[in-house]
Amino acid sequence: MAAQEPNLTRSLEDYLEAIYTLKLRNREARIKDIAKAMKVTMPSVSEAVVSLASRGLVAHRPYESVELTDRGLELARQITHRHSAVKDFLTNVLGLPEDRADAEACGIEHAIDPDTLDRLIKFSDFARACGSEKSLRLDHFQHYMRHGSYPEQCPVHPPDGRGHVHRHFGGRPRSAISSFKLSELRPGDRARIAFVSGGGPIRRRLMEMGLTSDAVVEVVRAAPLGDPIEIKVRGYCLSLRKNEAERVEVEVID
Amino acid sequence: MTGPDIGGDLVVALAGNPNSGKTTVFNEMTGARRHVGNWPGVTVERHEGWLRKDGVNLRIIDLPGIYSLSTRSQEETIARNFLTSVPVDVIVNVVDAGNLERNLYLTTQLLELGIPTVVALNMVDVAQSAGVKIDVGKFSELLGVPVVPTVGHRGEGIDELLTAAIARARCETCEPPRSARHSPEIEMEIERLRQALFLNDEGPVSPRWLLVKSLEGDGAAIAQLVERSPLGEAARLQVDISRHHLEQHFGDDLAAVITDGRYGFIGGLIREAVVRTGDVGRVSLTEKIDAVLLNRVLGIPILLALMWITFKLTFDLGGVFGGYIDRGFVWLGSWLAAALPPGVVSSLLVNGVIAGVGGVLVFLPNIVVIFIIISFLEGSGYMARAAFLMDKFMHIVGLHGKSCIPMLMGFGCNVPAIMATRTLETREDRLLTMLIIPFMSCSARLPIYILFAGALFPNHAALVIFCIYALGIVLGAVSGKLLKRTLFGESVSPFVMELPPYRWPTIKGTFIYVWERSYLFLSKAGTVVLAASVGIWLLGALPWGAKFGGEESLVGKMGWIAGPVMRPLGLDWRAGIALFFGFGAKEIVVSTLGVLYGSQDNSVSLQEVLPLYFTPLAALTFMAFSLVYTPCVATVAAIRREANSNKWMLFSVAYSMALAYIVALCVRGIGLAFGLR
Repeated sequence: MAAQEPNLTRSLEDYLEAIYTLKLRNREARIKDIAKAMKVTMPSVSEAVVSLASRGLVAHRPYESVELTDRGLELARQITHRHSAVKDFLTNVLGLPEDRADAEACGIEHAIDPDTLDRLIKFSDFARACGSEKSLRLDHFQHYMRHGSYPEQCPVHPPDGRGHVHRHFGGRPRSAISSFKLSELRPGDRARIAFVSGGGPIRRRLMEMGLTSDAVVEVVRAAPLGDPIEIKVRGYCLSLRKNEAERVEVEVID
Repeated sequence: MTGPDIGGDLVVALAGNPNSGKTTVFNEMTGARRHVGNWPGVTVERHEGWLRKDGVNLRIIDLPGIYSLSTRSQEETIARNFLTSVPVDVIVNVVDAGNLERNLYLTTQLLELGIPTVVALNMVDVAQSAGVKIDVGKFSELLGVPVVPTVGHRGEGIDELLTAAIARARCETCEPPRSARHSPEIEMEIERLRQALFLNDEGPVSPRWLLVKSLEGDGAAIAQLVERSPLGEAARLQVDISRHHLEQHFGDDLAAVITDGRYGFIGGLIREAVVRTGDVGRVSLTEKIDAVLLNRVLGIPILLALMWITFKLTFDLGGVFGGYIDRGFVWLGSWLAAALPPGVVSSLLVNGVIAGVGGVLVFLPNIVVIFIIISFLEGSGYMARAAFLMDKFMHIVGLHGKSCIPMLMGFGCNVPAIMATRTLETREDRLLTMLIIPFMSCSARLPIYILFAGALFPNHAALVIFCIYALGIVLGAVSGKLLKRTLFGESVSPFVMELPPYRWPTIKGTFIYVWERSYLFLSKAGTVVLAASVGIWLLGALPWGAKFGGEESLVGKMGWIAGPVMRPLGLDWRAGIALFFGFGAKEIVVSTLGVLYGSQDNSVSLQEVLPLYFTPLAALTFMAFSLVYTPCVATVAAIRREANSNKWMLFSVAYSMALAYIVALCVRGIGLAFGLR
């Protein structure tokens, strides 16, 4: 997973993650904004950016937004996904409240070995599919690790590995790997739909138009005024507002 | 069989998604043997056609284009009520072969109805050239219904489609359509409920369809179930228990689970029967066009430019032909005046009928041109792009991007535009759009601008007209924001809309579209305008012996009221009378002006007379007032019908009257300040 990353200090990883998050949210990441987001001074941000630039992860010219290089983007995604995977484990399996899980994940994410992380993610998935509030059998988990398929005694085991496996944790279903909202993607990004959240007529409408779990979507463009966006799904083009796209949780396909 | 018998040997219902080419197929099937009306109780257009094939009389009903058989929009409700209450012999489901997955979503629901069905795989040529190869035999086998490939706009496969539909409707031994299998748990509940509720197969729709819809939580279906089950109200409880059980099992809203399942079924179907041969990365023509038309920088300027071209064409091209008609009527008027002995009959014909109706018919070419363009924009797929481009802006002024389409149509005629508001999903959005549409200057108001701009600003006519249209748009935006803030909550409705691939509209389709709307205009000129013209002539001619349109005539006396009201605007009483009659139809404004100003000498046209009575500033004020004040009776009636409320109708009238006066005052004030006269 994160095997080939250049040696980054924990703090540089945090910077990279912050730049990535800012760019997702605002499309640009200025030194000032990074400083504000990380609650540090602007000179320290500048120093970190120079350091990241020397590793070929970002490009930056004075007074302009910090740009991620392709390698930087790749790495930032890994770091961010690592963060959400750990957080997912902490909330869904260990039952930590969201805010605490977030803070904890910040610490754990830097220390964890890629292989351990991989197992952690698998365990989250397994717990969702084969566990229940009352029982979760470790021998079944070993089977899952060895064969990559759920054992037959699983209380819920959808035949094709998909379906509605989110109920045991009652809350928001989130993929352990790399979960984004459709509204956060940029033109050209492709993603697989994990889940359409919320309820009521808007959700039904989105699903009827083909935005169901596992469908692949591609963001085509945003309207000239920034909203709505145009996406391609099931071979046709659909437009929807960003606040509607926010309900669609996706996994980015690289 | 229950429900009313609607005649014809076989009743064929055409159903399909919007943009599936359904209307083209309908046009190819029926040609001129058709009738446009309204669905009972609502004003969605109902197209119906007849034809005779192999000795069988077919009655074809073109249902509104829909994505699903739920009841979230009026179109869906209409289509669904028709299919579930009228004995339909066969459904022809038109499916866009190039957009199979989403089109088949409706198909999976139609098949559940248990009505004999034939699928028309439309636009197979486009799909093929995009590298989508469909194994028709396999496809038909998997769906359990006949599948006929068609190319609507070339009429290919239509004959085979009709033959298949007749055979299917007449087939005694055919199995009912095979519907999508849902997941085993749901199928078990469907079977359990069917037995528990003692449902039999009698009735227009299959129990399976009712049960699936009920499990989705569809109120109308549950009500129908309660009616059909001997258990009565207890059936409702049974459904509730099943739904609760299944939602517990799936941990999700059951309607969502079923939707998921339908798409799963479609996915399997496509894996088996469709081969994608073309390279997937190929950039389609639509993508290339959209790269320009929806471009970040160019998109909106192009939209504005297209609107500008629309007006330019309407004015220039329409004006040429309008000029011929104008001269024809002037000639006819002076010929009649010379040929007939002077008196009441001559005056009625020359001053009443010819001045009135002629003054309106002059604009028929303009109307034809504008509807040809609107038909092109709609048929090509650009209208949806306009909504996409403008949604953010519309959203800022409190409207929905989809309001953009009715509002653009409002430039043609407010009446169909107000009818088109039903594509909006919430009542607030619909009401708000209805209140704003009258500020979109309809083609009936165009004659007024053409007349005044042509007469007083001959060198800048197009610019002046463009500014008037722009003023209307600005007023609409300001009103939208204002009314949204004060009258409606800040609730927001979804903007989930298909951007269909660009297509050439068919000539036949355009012709039918333009003909139907021109016919509406002509029938209005023939009835409302003729009656109003004669009425105005009477007001101008009575009492007998008074100088026509003079101060002693009835009109002149009414002018004593109109005069003081219009004076602050720098307009005379005759302008006031013309505007008053414009309430009947905006076309009448011009014809009234023709009667009131043109009466002295029939050998000159109104355009030559006007500069004697109007200063440029007065003309601007008059145009602004005409733009804003209460739309015609037909529009007001449409608002009443669509809003289903007298209160909103009266509000619309009062609001636009007050605003018109204020705007006209402002135009005059600003004009005077800049030294215009």
